[in-house]
Amino acid sequence: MTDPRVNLRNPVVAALLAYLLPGAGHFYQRRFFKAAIYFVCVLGVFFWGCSLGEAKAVHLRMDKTARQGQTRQRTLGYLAQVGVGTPALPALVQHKRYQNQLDAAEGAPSALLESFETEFSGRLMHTTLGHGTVTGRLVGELRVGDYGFSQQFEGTLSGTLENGKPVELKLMGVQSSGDLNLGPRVCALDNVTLSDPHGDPVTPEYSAERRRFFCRVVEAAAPHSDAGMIEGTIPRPFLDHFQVPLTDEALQHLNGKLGKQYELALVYTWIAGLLNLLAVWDAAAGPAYGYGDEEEEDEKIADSSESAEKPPAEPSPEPANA
Amino acid sequence: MSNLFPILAVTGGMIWYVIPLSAAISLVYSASRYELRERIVRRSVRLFGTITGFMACVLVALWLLSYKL
Repeated sequence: MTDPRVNLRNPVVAALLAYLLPGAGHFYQRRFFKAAIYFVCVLGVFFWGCSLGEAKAVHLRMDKTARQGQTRQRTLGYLAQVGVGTPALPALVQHKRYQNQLDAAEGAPSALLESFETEFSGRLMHTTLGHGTVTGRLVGELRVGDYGFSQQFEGTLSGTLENGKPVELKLMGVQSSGDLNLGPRVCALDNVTLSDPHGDPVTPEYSAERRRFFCRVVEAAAPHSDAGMIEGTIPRPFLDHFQVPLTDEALQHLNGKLGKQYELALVYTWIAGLLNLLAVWDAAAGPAYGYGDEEEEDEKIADSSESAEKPPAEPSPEPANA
Repeated sequence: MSNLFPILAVTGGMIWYVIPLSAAISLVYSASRYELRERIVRRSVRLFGTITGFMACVLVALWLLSYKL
C-alpha cells in the first residue's frame, strides 16, 4: 500500500516516462529530489560505460548466422541495457537495419543496393599514372551481382593526385572476383587497413566513421581492361555506425584494444539499465519500504535493548505539588 | 600500495571505478526504498559503506590467499 503522502499522479504515465528517460517519471510526479538522483546516477553510469567502451558497448545482435551457431549472439546483455530506455533504444532500429542490409545483399540480380556520391581519400596504383595518394569525389552504384550473388560496383572518381594533377578514373569491380572490397554501409567498426605498397605487414586499423573502399580502375575506352586500383576510405555517417551490431572481428579488435575496460563498459551499461528498473517501479508503485519517517530497524533494536537494561521507573512517593 | 596489493597494479587502477559505481547503486537503491530525503541519504551512505567494506574485505582475502604465490 502506497503511503498517502506520496502523490503518484498517473502511475502508468509516470512509469512510462521513468522508463523512457530516467528521472522523468519522478519529475512528472514532482518528486524532484528522486528525479535528480535517478537522472544523474542512472544516466551517469550508462554514459560513463558508453565512454569506456568507445561508444560500442550498446548493441543488439541476433542475426541469422548466429542462430546457426557461426557467430555469437548478444541478446541478454542488451536486455539489461535496454532498461535504461531511450538511450539504448536506437540499437533495436540499428539491428533491424543491419539485418535488412544482409538480406538485401541476397536480392534479385542487378538490384540496386546503394548509390554513392561522396568524398574519397586514399591511394591510387595505376599503370600509367603511377602510385600516389588521391582525393576526390566518388560517384557510382553498387548492385547485386548478375547471378543474384556477390556485389558489383560501377562508377567514377574525379579527383586530384598528390602532385595536383586532376584525374578522372573509371571504376568497375566485382566482389567475388576480388577487385571490389567495400565496407558495409551499416557497420559499427570497419577494417580500413591500407595494404603496404611494399607488401610488408601492417597494423590493422579500424574505424567507425570511415568505410573501406577498394576497387579496380579500368580504361575508360575498354571497361574490361585492368588499369590499376584505388584503395582508401569514404565517410560513414553517424547514424550508420551508432549502436550497430558488432561483428566477431570488430569485437575481437575492441577486446584486444581495450581489454578489461571493454568488459567494464559492458558491466556499467548493464547496471545502469537494471537500476532504472528500480526507478520505474518506484514511479509506478511508490517507495518499497515506506515514506522514511518510520522508526528504523536498528533504532528499534537499540530502543528495546535500552528499555531492557533500564530498571522500571519507580513511582515517586508523593506528587511534587501535592 | 601496488607492491602491497599486486591486484591493484594488474588492474591498472581500474579497481577504483567501483567507488562511483557503488555510490550510484547505493543512491538509486535507497531512493527506490524511501521517500524522505534525509532517510535516503543516510541509508545510501550506509549501503555505500557496506558495499565498499565488503569489496575491501574480499580484496584483502584474495591478497592473503595469493600471498607469496
